[in-house]
Amino acid sequence: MSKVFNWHLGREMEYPYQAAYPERQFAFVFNINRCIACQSCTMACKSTWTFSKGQEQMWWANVETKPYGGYPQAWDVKTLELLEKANPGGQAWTGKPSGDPKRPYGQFNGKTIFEARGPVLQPDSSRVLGYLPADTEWNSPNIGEDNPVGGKGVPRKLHATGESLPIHKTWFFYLARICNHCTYPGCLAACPRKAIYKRPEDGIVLIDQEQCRGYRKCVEACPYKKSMYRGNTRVSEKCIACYPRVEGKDPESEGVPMETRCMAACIGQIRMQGLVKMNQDGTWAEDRNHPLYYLVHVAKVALPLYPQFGTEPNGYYIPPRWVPRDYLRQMFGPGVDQAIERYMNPDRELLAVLQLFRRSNRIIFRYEIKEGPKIYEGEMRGKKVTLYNDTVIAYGKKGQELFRTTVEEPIHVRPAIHANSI
Amino acid sequence: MPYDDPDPQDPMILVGTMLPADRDAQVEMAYAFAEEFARLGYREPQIQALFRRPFYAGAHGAWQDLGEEQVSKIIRECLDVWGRVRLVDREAKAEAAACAGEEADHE
Repeated sequence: MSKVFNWHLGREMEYPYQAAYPERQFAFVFNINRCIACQSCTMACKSTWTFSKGQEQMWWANVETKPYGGYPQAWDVKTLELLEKANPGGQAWTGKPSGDPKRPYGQFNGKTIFEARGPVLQPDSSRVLGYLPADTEWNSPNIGEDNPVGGKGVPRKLHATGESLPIHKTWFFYLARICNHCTYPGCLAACPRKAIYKRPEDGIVLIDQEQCRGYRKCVEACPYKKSMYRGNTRVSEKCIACYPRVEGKDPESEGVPMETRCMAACIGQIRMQGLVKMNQDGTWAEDRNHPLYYLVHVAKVALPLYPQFGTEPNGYYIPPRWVPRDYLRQMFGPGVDQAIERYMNPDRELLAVLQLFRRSNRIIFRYEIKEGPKIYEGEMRGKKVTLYNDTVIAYGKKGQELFRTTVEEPIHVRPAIHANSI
Repeated sequence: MPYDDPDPQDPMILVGTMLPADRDAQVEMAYAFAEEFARLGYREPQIQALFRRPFYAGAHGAWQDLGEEQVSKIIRECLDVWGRVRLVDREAKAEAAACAGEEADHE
């Protein structure tokens, strides 16, 4: 095992290979507060990449209802349980979230899936702690809510009020997921064929279909369960981050790097994807006006999903503000309280950056804010809210302007016929 | 499940899970959806529809639990702040042509 630095954990950790980092890293931010589980992302991915025979159970992009939903069923609870069994009572963080880019969430002193070896790991040759989900666990992309909403014996007709959908009598939220294209992928570490690789130009993790022999070690090792086995070709497949679009080689893209299909289809405008610059040591290079750098490292409102697994996932989430904090701390680490506080009381810059979500399908590499006059000052639920007539401008890879969004106070022009009416 | 009563022998049925049903969380969730969609430029009838439609289980659950009156009050409170402004997007000219085809596909 080599030693690599994992900035999510704030420390070095064991990994089967030496550290190697891409020039830029595919990363994304999902704002959970906006997700209504319309499943447009899920279907955009399905209809693009996994509509063939043998891929029926594959949902590279899915939205699951937390806390009880999961695809495959209970994927996160099972991995957390394995880690707890390997290191009873020791899965804890110390320190506090800080401005240090190498330890933004403090330090995790427990064991990662690469470190939790020993009696738990079977067989001995396994490099990564994990489990192989049973076939039944892949049956439901969002259990309880992925059923037809028609009446019994009435095909192809929705129930008028949808009342056959379950009613949840508790807090819950929707967690949209794709492959996190991790910096230290569990799937890559576990593959005995070395069929999985991380691209040096954008950090996208791919399975070489020629090399794969379908041993399913990647399915077992990925803690997020985003590597999936295809029975009729006997090889594994996973999210490819729509790389032709990211490269700007998709016919639609006209040479301009575009966001993935799941991002582009998002109706709730919860998603933003980009390519962040990397330092030699695996941390993100300072890029103050990159929207993802801003959300993760400056505003710190976007947090990694289960950082304690140790893979340094490149998907970040703005946590849902109504969910019990203990649950969120387990899911997103110790930065949760600060992230929610900041998100609920956004400053001028954060409000402007949040306007960049889904205004365009092209990848944003930089933003700029042109400040305008104050147009509103008031209170909402006891908190001061100030709005400005600001314009946020998004720029592309070559520095070209992509679009600009302005916050405006609508002007209503009274028609001449009513010019003097009250 | 939608068609029949749960079968306790079915491995896909969740059993034995207890979670607190917190009314404050419902209120907070209703505020979150109303505020987020008000910020996106949705108007009152559109946000109301989001809560009323049973197919958006999160918002609809809050609507069922809190009732029409309270949800409407929450929506109006959010729109009182965020409904004052509108967001105007302007595509950069050189890029607009390149993406015109895709936008047409989306319509």
